[in-house]
Amino acid sequence: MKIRERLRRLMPGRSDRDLESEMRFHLDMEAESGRRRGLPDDDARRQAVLRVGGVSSAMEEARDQRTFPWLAGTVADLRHACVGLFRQPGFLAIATTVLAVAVAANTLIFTVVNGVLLKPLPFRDPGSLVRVFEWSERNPKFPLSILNYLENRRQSQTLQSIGLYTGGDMELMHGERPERLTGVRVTHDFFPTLGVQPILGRNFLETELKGSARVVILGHAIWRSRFHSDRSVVGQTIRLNRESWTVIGVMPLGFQHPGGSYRSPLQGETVDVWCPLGIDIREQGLRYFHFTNAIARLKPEVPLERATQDLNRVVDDLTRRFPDAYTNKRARVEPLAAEVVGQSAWTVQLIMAAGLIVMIVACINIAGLCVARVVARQTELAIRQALGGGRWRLIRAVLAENLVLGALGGITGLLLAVLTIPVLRSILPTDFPRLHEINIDLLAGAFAVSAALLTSVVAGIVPAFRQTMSRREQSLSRGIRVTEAGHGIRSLRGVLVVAEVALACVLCFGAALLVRSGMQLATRDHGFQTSGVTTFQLAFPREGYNNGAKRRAFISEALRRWREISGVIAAGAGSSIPWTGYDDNTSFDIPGRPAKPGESIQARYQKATPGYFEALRWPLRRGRLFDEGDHADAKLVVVINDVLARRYFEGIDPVDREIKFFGRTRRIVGVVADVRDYPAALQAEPAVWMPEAQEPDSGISVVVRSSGDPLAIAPRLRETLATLDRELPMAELRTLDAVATAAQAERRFAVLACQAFAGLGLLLAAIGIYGLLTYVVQQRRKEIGIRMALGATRATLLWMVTGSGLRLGAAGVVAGLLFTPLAGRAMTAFLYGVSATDTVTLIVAPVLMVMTALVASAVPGWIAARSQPMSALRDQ
Amino acid sequence: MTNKEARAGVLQGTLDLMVLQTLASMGPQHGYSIAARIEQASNGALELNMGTLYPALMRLEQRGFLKGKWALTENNRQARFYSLTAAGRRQLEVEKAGWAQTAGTIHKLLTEDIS
Repeated sequence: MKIRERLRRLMPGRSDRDLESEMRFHLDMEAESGRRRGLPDDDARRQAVLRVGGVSSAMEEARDQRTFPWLAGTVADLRHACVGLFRQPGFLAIATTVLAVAVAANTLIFTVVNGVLLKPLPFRDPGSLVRVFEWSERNPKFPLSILNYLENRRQSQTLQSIGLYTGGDMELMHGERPERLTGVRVTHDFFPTLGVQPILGRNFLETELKGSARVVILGHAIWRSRFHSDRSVVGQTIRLNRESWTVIGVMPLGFQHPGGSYRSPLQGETVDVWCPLGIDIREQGLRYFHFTNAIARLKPEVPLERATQDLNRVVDDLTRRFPDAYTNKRARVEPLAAEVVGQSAWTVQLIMAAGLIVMIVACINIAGLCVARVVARQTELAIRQALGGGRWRLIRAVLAENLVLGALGGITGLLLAVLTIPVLRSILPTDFPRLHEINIDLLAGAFAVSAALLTSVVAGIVPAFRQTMSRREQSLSRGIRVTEAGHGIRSLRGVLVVAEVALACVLCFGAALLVRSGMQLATRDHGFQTSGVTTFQLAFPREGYNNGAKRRAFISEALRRWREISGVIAAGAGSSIPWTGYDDNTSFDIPGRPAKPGESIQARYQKATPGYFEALRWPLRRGRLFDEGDHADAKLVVVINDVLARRYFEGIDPVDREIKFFGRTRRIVGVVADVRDYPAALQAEPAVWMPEAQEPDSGISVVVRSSGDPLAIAPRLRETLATLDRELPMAELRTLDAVATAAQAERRFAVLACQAFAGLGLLLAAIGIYGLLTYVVQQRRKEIGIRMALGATRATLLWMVTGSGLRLGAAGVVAGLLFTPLAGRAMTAFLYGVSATDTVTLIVAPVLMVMTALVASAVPGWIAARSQPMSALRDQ
Repeated sequence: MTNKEARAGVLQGTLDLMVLQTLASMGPQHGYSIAARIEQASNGALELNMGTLYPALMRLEQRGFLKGKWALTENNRQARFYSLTAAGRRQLEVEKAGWAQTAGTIHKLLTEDIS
């Protein structure tokens, strides 16, 4: 009663006090009219109460008017449900656990889906932001050339603005230690396009888009940490890349980098400094160089197709004017949001599907439990029905239990999710898109609770209707005699269990396919060896390394000294290392081999020093690798990979033949094995390497192979480097194994998630089978007792129960197998080296499922076999 | 419960109509004067108990037909005055029509029962 009163007070309406004073006034008026008729005060009061009633009893009447009557009924139902549930702790515990686990898993998935796919990007009107690319047959998302950007700015009619950006890390010397900063070079229209401006100082000017500009805008984080939020830093000079740069602005807190596909920090990664993108390069470079990401804002109400048409007009114009650079090129416009999420949308969708299946299995599981629960309440419900309880009233009584269950499961599940989210964060790849946006917030909480309520109510509806539809005399007589479950109940639960097993089987199949793919990948020949290699980057500042000769000499001397360190087996450097997302292409010519119509002869171009391929144990197929003889003044040479040889030198030995690129003819001296862009890539791309000495870069990746723990020699490498240049930082020091791990992190996450869900599915199916059989054994105690009395052996009884469980399992597996082609097809993007109808998987998943069914049904079988016939019979 | 329902069953529909009509003809009134007016109109036949009147007022207010507001009476006392809302005026028309029909039907039955 107390709870009821309290709940009532929560309802909107007038307070008791207000009502009481109104009635007191009424009574006073009544008494006064009595006094006016000449009654003494006491009598007048008494008469008044007699005429219009007492305040307290009238209050009671009014209070009943106050709340909505259905609410009072619901409150009573809920109270009743709580009492009923806590009288069945077994049912309550199992159902809550099942629900909580499923809700927790799905809440975690929801946080990912919400953070990655649903939350709008943190820019003004993010829907109108797009990324712009140049499209060609071979490179569907080629970075925009600067000329294309300039022409878009001049000619396009659908873009409000367009900006370019490209990565450009810098070296800061502030105080004592040198530090590598994440830097981005941007055009003056980059920030306005995103709709942000510096909180201090100003943006870049168009006139500052020069290689010689020495102005810089600081990120909020570094302004706070290294410059102590000093507002006067604007206008001062700081030392970057050993030169003086003037700070002209500071960006606001919370400004997120939009991410890019090309030489760019990831979306949301902290950027320390922005500096102007120099577009004052030689005229040819404006159309030949492709190293910038483009971001644009569409004018209001412009659809993507119209923008694409518009930008194609610009490309057509460029093709007319510069056929050499723009033939067969088109414009490509993609929404920024889709670009940020990229391939990971597949991963998110995969785990979402798996999570949904788990939720359905949980729902079916709870439905099964509810059927049993309703049967247990049969007598009670029948009596209520006989006493005139309406059908809706009874359904409400049954559903009230499920509401309570849902609330309990939802809250427990939410707690579980909160506890496990750190685990989720730790297994998500560090470069997963928008990882920083994945957290449990109010929305996730609301999701958890509503998912739980919905699941448990849906699970309760079928049994509730089924029960209340039965004819009342029948269920009453049956209920009062014995609660002997009819065949109908058992078969309904049987169908539910079969459905559960089928879905779990599909989950197992999917997980097994992924595991098989992983095994295939692990045994794949990657073309090089990751173990035992340390890698780091060096970026040469202009100051002190302003010409190729100085850089060349430095690299060669550093490598020589590193090779002398004991334990070092090989050391080299290159423009990139495998599996780090490098995909710069250039077109080239093969003298004497005309291009086929529509063919564009292209290759990834890279650079390497002697020792690079050796350190990576990158096999040589024919010819030779680079050696010290391939110096700057020697004949220009290149090494190519196998796929280039196969694709462009069909049946001819390419060694000693010539190719022409970057405007010069170079001789092929060797062919190395293929290495793919990332571990699961279907095929390798053609690639060509030049000696670092002949085309020196301003930054290199060093690879050092050593015996023992690769990182153990890192301090020695650093000391040696310091003897050559004290100010040059070693950046991104890590083992090549770590690079490989990072390259496969997302796949591993998908596999792990699917395995976890398959495990959950198996567990839930097992609970379903176990629950049903335990129930059946209990219902059939009498029959089992009679059988035993008549001489049935324990083995027979064990088999009787276990066999029925196995039959359910087998039926479920058959049903599940029908859906495997569908699941396999949906997963094609994640499969490597196995087909969607892989035979091994098609055997493994069902076997796993049947074994689970066996374990789950053996326990109730054992209970049946061990039961004492006399006690079973006496109970009746 | 049964007691209350029996009383309400007899009065509920007509009481609502009477309250609405009283407010429509006399303007904003407090509970006591509504009761007094109804009593007077029935020549003392209808003595409204507070336990009947106030639940009815609350119900009508909850359904949005009345609006209650504390104000001062002529004698400078605080009282809660009820006035009709627009919805209340419409409801009054509906109930009046309903009542006319019911009354007509009953009248017809009582006078033409022989045929």
